[in-house]
Amino acid sequence: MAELTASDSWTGDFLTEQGLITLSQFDEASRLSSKWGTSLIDVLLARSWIDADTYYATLAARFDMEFVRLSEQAPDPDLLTESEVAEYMRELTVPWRKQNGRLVVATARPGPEAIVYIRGRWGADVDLVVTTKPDLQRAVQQVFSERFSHRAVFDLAEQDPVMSAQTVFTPAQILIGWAAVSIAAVGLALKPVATLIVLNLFMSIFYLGNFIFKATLIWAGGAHQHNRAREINSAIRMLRDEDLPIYTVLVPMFREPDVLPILANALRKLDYPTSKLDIKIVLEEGDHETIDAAVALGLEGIFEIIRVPPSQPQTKPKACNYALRFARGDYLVIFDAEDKPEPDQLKKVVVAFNQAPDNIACVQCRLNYYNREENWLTRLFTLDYSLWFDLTLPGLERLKVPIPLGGTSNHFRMDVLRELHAWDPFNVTEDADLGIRMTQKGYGVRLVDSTTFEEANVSQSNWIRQRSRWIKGYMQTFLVHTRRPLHLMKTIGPMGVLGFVFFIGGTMLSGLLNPIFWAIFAFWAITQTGVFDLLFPPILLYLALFNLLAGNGLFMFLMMLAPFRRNWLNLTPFSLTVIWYWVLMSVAAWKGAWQLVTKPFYWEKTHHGLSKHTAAEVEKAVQDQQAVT
Amino acid sequence: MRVARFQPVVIFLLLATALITAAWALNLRGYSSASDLDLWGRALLANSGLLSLEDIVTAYPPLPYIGTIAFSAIAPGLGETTPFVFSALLAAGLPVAWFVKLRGFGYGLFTSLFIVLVMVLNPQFLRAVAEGPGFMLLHWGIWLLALGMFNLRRGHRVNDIILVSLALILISLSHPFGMVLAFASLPFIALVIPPDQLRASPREVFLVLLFPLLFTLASFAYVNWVFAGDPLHFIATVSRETAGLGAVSAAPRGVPFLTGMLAALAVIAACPIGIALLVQTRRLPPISFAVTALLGTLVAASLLAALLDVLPSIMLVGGLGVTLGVACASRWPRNPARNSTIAMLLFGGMMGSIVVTLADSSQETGRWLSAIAGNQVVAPDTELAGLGYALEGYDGILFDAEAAPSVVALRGEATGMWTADTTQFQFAGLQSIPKANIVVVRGSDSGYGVDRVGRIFLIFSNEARLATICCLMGNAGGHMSAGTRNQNEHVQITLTYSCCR
Repeated sequence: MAELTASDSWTGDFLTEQGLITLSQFDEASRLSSKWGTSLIDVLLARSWIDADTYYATLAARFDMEFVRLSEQAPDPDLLTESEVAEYMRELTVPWRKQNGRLVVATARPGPEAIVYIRGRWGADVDLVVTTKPDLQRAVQQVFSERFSHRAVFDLAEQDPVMSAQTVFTPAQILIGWAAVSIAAVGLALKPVATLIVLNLFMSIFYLGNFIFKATLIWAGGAHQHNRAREINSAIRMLRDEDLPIYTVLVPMFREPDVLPILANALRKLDYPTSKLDIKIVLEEGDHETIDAAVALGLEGIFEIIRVPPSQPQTKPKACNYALRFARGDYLVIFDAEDKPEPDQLKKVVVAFNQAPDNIACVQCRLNYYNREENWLTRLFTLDYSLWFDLTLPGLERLKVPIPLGGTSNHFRMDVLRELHAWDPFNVTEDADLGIRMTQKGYGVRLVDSTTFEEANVSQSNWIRQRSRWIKGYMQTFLVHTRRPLHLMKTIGPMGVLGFVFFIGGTMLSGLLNPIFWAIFAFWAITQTGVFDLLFPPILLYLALFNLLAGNGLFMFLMMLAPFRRNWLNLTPFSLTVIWYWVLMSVAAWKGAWQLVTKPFYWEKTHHGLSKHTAAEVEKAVQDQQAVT
Repeated sequence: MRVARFQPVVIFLLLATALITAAWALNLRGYSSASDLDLWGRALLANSGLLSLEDIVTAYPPLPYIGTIAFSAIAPGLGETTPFVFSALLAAGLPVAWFVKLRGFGYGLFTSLFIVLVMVLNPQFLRAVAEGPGFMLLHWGIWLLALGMFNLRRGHRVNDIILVSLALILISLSHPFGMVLAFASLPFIALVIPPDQLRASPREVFLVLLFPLLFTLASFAYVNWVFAGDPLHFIATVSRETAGLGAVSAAPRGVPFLTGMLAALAVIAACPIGIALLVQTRRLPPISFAVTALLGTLVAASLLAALLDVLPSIMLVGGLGVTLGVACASRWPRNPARNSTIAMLLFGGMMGSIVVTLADSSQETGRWLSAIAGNQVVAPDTELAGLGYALEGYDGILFDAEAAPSVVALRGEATGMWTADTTQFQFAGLQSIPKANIVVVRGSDSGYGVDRVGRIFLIFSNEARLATICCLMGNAGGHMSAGTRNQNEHVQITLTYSCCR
């Protein structure tokens, strides 16, 4: 067991002497403190073995210092500097006020280390007061709330407007779209059959290209899939805790109080020294139920709760942008509330960054589901995700095509994230957009073989809501990054453009077009009508038939391959039912397209916690927590 | 490093040049394989618009057929040698794939070149090149199958599943013998599936491996149903020439089982390295099981094909062992004696191939050997050749050309023919009056059966059985009869075909 720091040792002795904690609590807290890599007081507070107010007040009395509540006696804003926010949060020390010409510094960790720091930072001519950790964090947030809130929304739009989805369609895009529609209309009026044949030909060629590209991706993704994993696993064994960097973990949540225990449990299980974790639970200021639940669970002792002030658009990227201002890590990762990352994920990512070239700014881990066997939808969703994260994204990486980042478990280099103005709050798939933007700015994304398990949607309507947001976001991303086609070609190269068009454009367009072709095919198959003969001259008919058969067969086959890597072969036969999944996807695509025009920035909230497994996971997490206490 | 990147390109160019030159040299001596003639005749008909799309897309095997049509569009002007050149290009690509893989498995530049050269010069491989694109695609299929099978059991890579699945599709759609090969492979696939997956989810693993093949075959049947109204229509489009079986009148093929055994021995003779690898890696199941599966597939397919009377010549079947031999060489365990052992075994394979070549009594192999020896050879079916030459320069020929495409190939063009898909043919059928300059009808006693002209004009077919002269209708053709052009061929033509006034 690692020894306690001088401060912790002294604090423990003092609290035991005062009868505020028992000896056995002190021993257990020492053990947990060592295990979690965090301070003794954080453990005591997290376990509710001591009341925060009592602790800080007693401590202040012991040091003969004043105890102040920053929530009631806020710090002087003029004394706080924006560029030092991360440092305030790390040291839990802020300049509070000037009294009698002397600077008064408030600290939430009184002790020898804090005094050394304060003297080094502000000199010896200062007075000290004690405050609580949550108060201090909250006070700093409040001072910068307005500024940070504005930046969270408009930083990208103001600094790099061409990369922001705030403008949905640029005038040039509207003009080109209008011209295309006009040409088609004139063609239909003058030569209707020829025009329809040309349109049909374009769509058929698109389909052919789309499925050839996807097959190529899977092939490329499957090759050498184990090599890097072996390298990283062996490098992890060489890591020393003291060499690990500070890691910020952002967990944006909205109205999800029920899943908090899963999150707390999963984060505690991370194989990373807790003292080097900067975990921020990002909550909307008005989301009282989740805030109350987090406080009630005692999470504030270990995790920092960031309250995002209300503003529009109320999106996850805006909340993350806001929280980013308080982050103090060298790296940053986003997890969803119900996520269960594999414990060694952060270490794997650190190794991956160490091994990667300098331009690698993001590491994407794999996502998958823990409730895959719950119903038909969760099985198909698992196949879909396995195909995406286990095969398709490695293919994109190998072919050097920009990678649209997936919802969570993307780990960033903090300096680059800030340089790029972080996430676009107007884009509802901000992560996918950031991946493409990163590549355009000369940075790369690397994949690491570590999985975060999530809750798969169990309800089809909920799934459609989620997928419609994703597809709408893909449309936004496509529109943003095709504003400057030549620039795009110059920055990501021809292969990148091809991949971007087929991968981002193809995913949304095939969802939109499929119902049209299915309807034509079904009508033709049932009625054997000859009305479509004119639109399908022989070669085109063969191409369309080839696309229909080879394309559908290929996509079903790819779905079958998806679970191989994880040996979840019992899911394989469900690939044969994927057609209904595609129907749902088309519904979502049309919904997304409609919302792009009517409510472009609206965030279709996915409801979590609907799964029976999630309930079981919550119960298990609570039991784990109780077992520890 | 940069030079190494161009090595495959250089090898491809050299091999393609050599093989295409050889193809032309053989063609100058009158050699074209029966399957190439058949394929080229169909391609000519398709390119001239005398075959409907329906006929093209429902024909079996589709890959060499559509490949040849596409290749003739890319490289027009090659004439009768088009399928041969196409086959040569496919053949030139395969050794490049061998070379790349051998280098990847740690063979030095010169050893890799040596292995590739020995295998390319193997007479059984060269015979496959001369046979046509269908058989070369089979070689590609066996190569991909071997790559997949060697890795599948231990790799857990989806690429290996894709390779096996893709190979089965390629094999099935390239040649009628390929369909037998794919069927024969089914029990052996179990040997190469990772044991944990086979124990836990046997149905699921087989579903993944066989789904592409089953879906492709179902799709092909569906296309047949859509275009020809019968899902099994393609069976009728398979000709013996396409299957590399020669004409029906060829010499008796002997006891099927023994013929099959002979073909199986030809495989072993071409691939002694397979047996040696099996012994060498008997304690390495991923390798030894894969070799067993691959050899077992070829041997079982030989026996099955013989029983079904669809076995091509033993030289062609055995030739697949050459490609398998390279795959085995690439997976030979690394040890100091590897190069010398491999050289010895490949030399043994070469000797085996020479023995098989000399033992193969099929007509096609005989023609090929004769042409290789520098002799002028006659067409594989002299009757059809005679008919083809006789029809040169004429117009308005009512002819079920699809039933004998090599006639079109030997005639050199499809123009002037009224084939079954033309309006003239259908009009003639409706009126029951052949207003053509020439009517070509297959005799009812032909081993191939009556063709569509014969079914419409039954009287011609019956007369053709008795006919002794090829007759021309109309003024244009009246001046010249086939007999006057080539008396000898004329006599043979009348055995199965007749042109009637």
